Amino acid sequence: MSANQGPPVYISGSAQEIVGRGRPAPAYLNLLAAAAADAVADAGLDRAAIDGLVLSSSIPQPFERNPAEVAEYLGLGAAYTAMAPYGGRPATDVLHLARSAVRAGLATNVLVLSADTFASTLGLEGAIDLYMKSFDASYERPFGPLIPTAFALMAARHVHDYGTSMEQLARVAVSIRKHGLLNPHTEVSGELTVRSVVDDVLVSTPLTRSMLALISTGGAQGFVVTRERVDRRSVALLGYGEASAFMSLSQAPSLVHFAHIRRAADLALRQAGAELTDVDFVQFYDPATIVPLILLESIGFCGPGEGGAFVEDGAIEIGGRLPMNTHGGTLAFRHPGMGAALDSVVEAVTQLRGEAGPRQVRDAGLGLVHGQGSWLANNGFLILGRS
Amino acid sequence: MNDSADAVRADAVRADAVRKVDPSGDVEATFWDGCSRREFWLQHCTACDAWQFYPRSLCSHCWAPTSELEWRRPAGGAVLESFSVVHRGSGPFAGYAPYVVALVRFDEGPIMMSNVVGDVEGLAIGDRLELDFAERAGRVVPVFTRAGKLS
Ligand SMILES: [Zn+2]
Repeated sequence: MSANQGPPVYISGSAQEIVGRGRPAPAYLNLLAAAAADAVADAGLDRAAIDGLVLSSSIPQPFERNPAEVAEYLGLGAAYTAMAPYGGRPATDVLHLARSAVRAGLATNVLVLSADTFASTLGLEGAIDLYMKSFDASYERPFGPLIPTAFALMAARHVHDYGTSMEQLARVAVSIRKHGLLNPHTEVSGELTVRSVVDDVLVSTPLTRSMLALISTGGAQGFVVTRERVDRRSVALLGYGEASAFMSLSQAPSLVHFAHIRRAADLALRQAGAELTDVDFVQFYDPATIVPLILLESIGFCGPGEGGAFVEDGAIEIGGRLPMNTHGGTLAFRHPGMGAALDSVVEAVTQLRGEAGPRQVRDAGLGLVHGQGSWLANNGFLILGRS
Repeated sequence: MNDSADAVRADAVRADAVRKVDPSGDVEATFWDGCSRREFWLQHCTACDAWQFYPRSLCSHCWAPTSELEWRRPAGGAVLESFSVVHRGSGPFAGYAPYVVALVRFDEGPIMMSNVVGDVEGLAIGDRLELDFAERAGRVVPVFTRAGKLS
């Protein structure tokens, strides 16, 4: 506990805007406004109590509106405003920025907003093209990697170094699909089996389509981060750690084990005065099924190379010893864009409030939420707890 | 793919040639300009004796300035660190699928993303590779072939 860096702040309001599979997303500002209204209503606060705004840039509209413009649009009046830019950042960082503003005395109740209108503004091909720009224009794009190829290069090396099997890579998708099917807002239907995942069409070897994230047309998330606990539905933000170590995969010190991931997770845990064994569930960014395996290993839930065996016995399913992505994640709920990790935060808040219905983790008291920027290049971990 | 005219052009610059890095130059343009002549130039730091890829205006290992960097040509041998066969190319790559995207470690140390071309049947991590060049849409890009296998 000695490393605890000050009292917690609280996520007292949480909201998620649903667009639906293949449906055109509402306009960017419409989504932001809906998320703002729903988050403040969820917190049970008057909008006049909001004196801060942290805006997460979206992928298709990285700089469409600056945060002062959005604050003005919402009629917030005098408020602290900030924005987390697009590119190489874990989306969880906006909750840290809101916490920092509260702790620095810049604001008392900070609205955190994110919206993406991906495929309805760019089309799915345009969305994929935009994602591809994450690769370096000079030294990576000339060789034709798809976004899944970044994860495929990690997976191939993991298979080579540790003997991880296609069945183990598939098992992650099967388990997380079970959770997605318990989410009334999921964009997928039908159970998966290890066989159906392995036999699905290859996108970038060794990864098949069912081992990869969905691409959604849009979505939004809103939160109210407060200095005071509003009521028993307020969730404590107990820790945040973040570290980047590279951007291009050619510069990564390893393709299978990442010290900066451990560093970021340890920072968050230390602030919270918590150990890994205290964590009741995890919400990991899951763009490809190799990523949760690498996270389990790099954070230290299991040893290097043991991720495949860890997931084989259903440990990451609700009822298992470490439920993961209880909303379905990007594999089996949706992938709206920059806000994917904020969907994970919404789910963590829902779990810690005990409001997750059929997918509720029993006695959920402490959750670890992961956000990722560009193929594990940058990682941000939040520790959230029941208040 | 390697016709004799190319072989002559590649030999026009001695393999042990060393060039200073122009402090006011654009290292990215210099790199690709070399590739257009089928010459691969890798940066080497004279201060700490380390190689680096991608090229920069300083040494990322010791922060020596541009004036202490030089361009050298690696021997061309490399090892396959990892690879993925892309089955559904996107945009300009749609016509190439399936193709191999790889991370390749030069014997000098640096790793780069590239393609393995030619005979890739049974390709495996750890395979020895050799530097080559391929022309695509009017641009010459560095690629690799399996050592001892003609592309
Ligand atoms: Zn140096």
